[in-house]
Amino acid sequence: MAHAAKLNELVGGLVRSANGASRDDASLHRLRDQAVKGLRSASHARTNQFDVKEKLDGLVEKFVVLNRDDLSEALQRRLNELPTGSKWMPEILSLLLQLSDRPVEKTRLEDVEALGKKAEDVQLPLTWEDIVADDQPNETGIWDDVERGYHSSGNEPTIDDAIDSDETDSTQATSVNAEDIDALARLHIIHPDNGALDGVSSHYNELQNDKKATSVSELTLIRETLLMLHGLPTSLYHLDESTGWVSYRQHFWLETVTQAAVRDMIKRLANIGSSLNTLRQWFRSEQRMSYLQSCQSSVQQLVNNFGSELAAIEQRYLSPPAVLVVSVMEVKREVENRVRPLLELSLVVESTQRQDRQPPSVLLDALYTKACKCELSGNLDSSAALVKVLLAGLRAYLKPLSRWAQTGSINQDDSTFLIYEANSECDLSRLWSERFAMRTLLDGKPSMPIFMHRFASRIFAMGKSHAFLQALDDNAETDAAGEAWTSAQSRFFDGPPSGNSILPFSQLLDESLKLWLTETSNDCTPLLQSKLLREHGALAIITELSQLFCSGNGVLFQMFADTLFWRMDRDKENWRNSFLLSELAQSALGSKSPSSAHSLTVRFEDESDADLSGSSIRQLDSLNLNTIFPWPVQNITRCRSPALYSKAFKLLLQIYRAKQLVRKQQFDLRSLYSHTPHPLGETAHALRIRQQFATHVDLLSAHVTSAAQTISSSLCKDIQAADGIDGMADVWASYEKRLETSLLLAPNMKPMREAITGHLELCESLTIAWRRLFGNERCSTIEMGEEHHEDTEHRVSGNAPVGNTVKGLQSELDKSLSFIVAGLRGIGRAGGNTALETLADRLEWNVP
Amino acid sequence: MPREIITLQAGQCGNSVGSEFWQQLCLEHGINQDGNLEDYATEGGDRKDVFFYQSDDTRYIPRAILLDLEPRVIAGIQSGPYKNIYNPENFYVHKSGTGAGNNWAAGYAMGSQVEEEVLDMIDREADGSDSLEGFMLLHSIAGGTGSGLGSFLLERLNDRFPKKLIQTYSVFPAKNDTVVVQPYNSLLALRRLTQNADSVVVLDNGALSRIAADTLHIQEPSFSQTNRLVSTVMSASTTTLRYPGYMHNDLVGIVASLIPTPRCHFLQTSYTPFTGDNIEAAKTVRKTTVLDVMRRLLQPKNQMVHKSLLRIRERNLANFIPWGPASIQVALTRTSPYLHPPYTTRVPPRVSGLMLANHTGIATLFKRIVYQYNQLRKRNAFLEQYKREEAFRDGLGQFDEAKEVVMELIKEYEEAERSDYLSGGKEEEAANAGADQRTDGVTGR
Ligand SMILES: Nc1nc2c(ncn2[C@@H]2O[C@H](COP(=O)(O)OP(=O)(O)OP(=O)(O)O)[C@@H](O)[C@H]2O)c(=O)[nH]1
Ligand SMILES: [Mg+2]
Repeated sequence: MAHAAKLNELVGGLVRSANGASRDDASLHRLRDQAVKGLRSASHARTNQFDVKEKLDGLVEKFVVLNRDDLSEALQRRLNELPTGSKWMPEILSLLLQLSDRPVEKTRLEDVEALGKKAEDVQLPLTWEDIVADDQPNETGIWDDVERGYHSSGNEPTIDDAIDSDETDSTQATSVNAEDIDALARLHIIHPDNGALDGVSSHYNELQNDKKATSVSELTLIRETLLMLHGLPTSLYHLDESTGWVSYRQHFWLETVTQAAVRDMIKRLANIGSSLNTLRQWFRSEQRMSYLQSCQSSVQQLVNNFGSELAAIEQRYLSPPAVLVVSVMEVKREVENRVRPLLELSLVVESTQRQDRQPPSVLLDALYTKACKCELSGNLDSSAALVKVLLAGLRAYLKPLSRWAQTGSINQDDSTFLIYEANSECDLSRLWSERFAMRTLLDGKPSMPIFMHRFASRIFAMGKSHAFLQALDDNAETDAAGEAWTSAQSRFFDGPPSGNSILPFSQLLDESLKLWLTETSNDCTPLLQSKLLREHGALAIITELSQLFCSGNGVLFQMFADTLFWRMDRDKENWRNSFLLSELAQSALGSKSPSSAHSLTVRFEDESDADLSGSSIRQLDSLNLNTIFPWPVQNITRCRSPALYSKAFKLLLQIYRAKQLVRKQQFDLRSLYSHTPHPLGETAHALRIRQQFATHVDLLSAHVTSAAQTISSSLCKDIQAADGIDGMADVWASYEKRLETSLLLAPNMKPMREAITGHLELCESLTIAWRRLFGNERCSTIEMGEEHHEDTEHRVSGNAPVGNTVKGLQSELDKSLSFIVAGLRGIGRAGGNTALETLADRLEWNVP
Repeated sequence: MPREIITLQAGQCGNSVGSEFWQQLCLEHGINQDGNLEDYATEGGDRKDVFFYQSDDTRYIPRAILLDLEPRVIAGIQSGPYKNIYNPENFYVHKSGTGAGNNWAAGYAMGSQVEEEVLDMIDREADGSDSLEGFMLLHSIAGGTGSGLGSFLLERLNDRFPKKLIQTYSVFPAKNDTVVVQPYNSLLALRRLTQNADSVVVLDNGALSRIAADTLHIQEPSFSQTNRLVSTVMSASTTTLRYPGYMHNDLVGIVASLIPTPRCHFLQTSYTPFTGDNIEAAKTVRKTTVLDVMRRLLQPKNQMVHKSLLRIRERNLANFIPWGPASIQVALTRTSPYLHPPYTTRVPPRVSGLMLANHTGIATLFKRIVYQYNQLRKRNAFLEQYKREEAFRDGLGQFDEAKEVVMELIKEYEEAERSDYLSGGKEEEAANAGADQRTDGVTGR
């Protein structure tokens, strides 16, 4: 514990000193935790002291060689002072070595010496704010009309342009009468004195027209270069206004340098200028998407900053310190040092402009990739700049996403937004899956920055949940949510992940996005789920399904089936009365299932196909019990009605029909006994077959009902624990699959299903044989007994038709049973479905 | 459309057992001693209408007809705690009130005297039900009334209700039964049970008192103690009727695959655990029996069913008739919520199981009865009282007929152990029937 606390504190301190955050900065916690995590997960071998020694050896000498005697001396002095006894010395030195950053170029000895001295010793440069604060301006008059045109140093391409566009504002204007406005205005119009520029333009023309090479001074070259870098037209460089492309003029030379060297340098500078102009053109271009606009303004700011740096260089030449070497090389070096981030940016911008059919978020992706690359290669300035632009864009980009995730609403006009309303008129039953869609690229990936792909489906689902909820209870909620979303989104990146953080940018961004998603979310999925399940009865309906369709309540099922069979037996032609049977289903089956009862219907498949002469079990094939899910439930089930359950119901009906036939024979046994106390021959055989059928039918019905109940009850459990609507739909689908297999209803099990129907039909054949055996002849005991004796004899001699029938039935039964058992085994083994294997075992068990 | 069951209880044993049964049902369904629902009985989902109907003032009334030829037992019921639940019109006590004197013939003879009145009661009850499933007769076969009048009723019901199920819960006498003539009575009754009932649940008084003695640690259990066992078994065997689940929901459904031939319809029961408050005792008697495995079956997992069934098969815990499929049905049912705390102070066992089995071992019981009958008959003992009655006016033919029927029954159960039974041919080999194919008899001991 103590160690953890100490570690926390130490890492906190480290992070703070690394990014300069204050102790109570909100992001500090997060950064610290990440850092601790990182530290923990890495295992650190001890520093190899010999490595360190090797690195240190000769460093002092190397500084001398590189012409930094001062540095070398300072280092040596400090090395001498090192406390040699400390056991952590190699670690300390190694850390310092790793922290060092191009010391020859970067180290300013004054800074090193100043380390540890009081802050007040360091003189801050005087700023205008200080001056104004000290000395409030009191001569009011001189501040009135400022002709900014002459001070403009900024972005305007030409001076003329700046003058034209300048509005001249008068502070006096307001106090003057309306009639005088014109006159007054006229007073303020400044007519450019073209003559003033004559000298300049003639010189310019001279330069332009002069075909022969001129010699220019280095100072001129510097001035021209700086102007060119500002994006202004110059005489030494040629600026192509339309493309921003800068080239240099061939015909001049510097007195002191060879032509080749100059040309090289100028070429390089011109390239830089071109790149800068690319950026300038880009950020002035008109962009519709707000996140691009944000990127633009961020880039503009960077370019402006660079402009100020150029101005600082200029300043140096305008009011030079005592000694100043005029060196275009020096300027180039300085410019190159500072312009690097902008060059990277320009590359990014250029690359995104080149492709014409590009996803809208390509810029963000390009920025992201570049930033990561720069970070990896240690080009931290560039990566910081790229990150800055990226984040500016991302913040704007996330805004509509936040709004979507929190309210489920989208801006219909935005044709590039990740989510669009695919089908605003879509049927409520497919609201979840069809109303909204994610815009995808050609490759099927969501149309959003690649680094956000992994959040896409979650964002999509969050918004859909809101939209769904609104559709569910069609009332307010929208307003409240609408207000909420604005507050959350501003929290994205309290402090931008700066380059000096310990974690790589990509990870930092990922974490931040995750955080954004959780903070922004106000995720209503759980609410939606519970509403759907409870208030909108999805749970009740799903529970009732097995009740209604899988004989969950055997009494109600029998009530329905018995009445149905009674109708079938009474009126073989006309029992298919959908209306009456629907009524019956609702009142009998549905009496304990309030949520679904009213929508129960019984339908028959195409009547013309129906084979009226077939067995009653076959005829049941055409019967379909159905119910229609309410639309919220349809969004889970993705279907209007439980077709699979209808099939299960049909199967159960057929099984029960067979059961009923065998059951009826039970009542014959008592009277049979009074006529035939010793069942022999065919009678005996019929009894034996009946016993087998009775068992099979019971086993089948037990299997179907218990499998359905088991599956259905775990479905209910799992669907409540599912994650989101998609999760619920998945659970539903997987349970349908299970049910389909367990009840042998899958399309590829058709032969099995057929075999079972066939087996059940044999029960019906038995009934016919049974009726023939016991039905009509019941009254005359002796006759029947004799007849059977005769039968036995006939059968022995091998030509009694009746005997053959029952015998034939037995062989058919055996055949059909062995097919079913083998099939069940196969399916059971293949699918790991032990219930099916059990059923096979039990059907086959002890069969002689 | 409930499938109503009308209960007929005859004689001392039948009425005592019946009264215990109704008390048990009332407890399970939350019906109080006046026939009204207890305030807490709101759970619903049970089917009271199988065994009860509602009077105009919504009281629950058993579909029960109580018959005896002497007033003692019925008078006890009429003054007992549950006296108010019965329909007073459904009591029939013979006016002379002396009983049948442990004489089957006397009870049987009384049948024709009481026939009109009793059949009226039965018809009234049958008319009062929507779709009558059948009848349950509770009686002993050793006495006079339950045995003799019971036999008479079975014959009448058989004719009158050919398409209704007739089930009996028949108490068979123990070896050392106090009624000396019980072999006569039993044999005569057994003939009717064979010929006129669809299924007979055999309750062996000997076995019952052994179980009661074992579980309750008593030497000589009283009838009220054994009757509690009987009512437990009865209530368990009707659970699927009263608490509709997804399987068997009527009596015929239960027995259909248990009864292969008209005669072989004698079912034995075993129930576990018989003891709710004496778990230690239960442990000492436990062996791995079919019943044990069956109890596992009752745990609500398909997986369990598979494994347990395999065990039955692999360890040969039970033998099945060689000529038919092994008919093991497992029905999981709910139980009454009112037998659990807070409605009672006793915690019921977490799972309990009832096994209804039709196995050939039952023939032993019948052989015993025939043997004892032969012993008496050889000596012409106690025949006088029978000869006085109508049925034996013309000689003792009744006895011989009954014996023949019972011998045939025994023979059929023995034949059922052979693989060629019911194969439709007699000429096939009868040789491999030598081994003991009897199913493992489990009586819950
Ligand atoms: N298990 C059990 N067996 C009983 C009970 N009462 C009597 N028996 C048994 O029933 C047989 C006697 O039959 P009873 O029921 O007493 O006789 P009954 O039907 O009333 O006929 P009569 O008394 O002759 O009119 C004997 O084997 C007794 O052991 C009882 O309450 N429980
Ligand atoms: Mg008595």
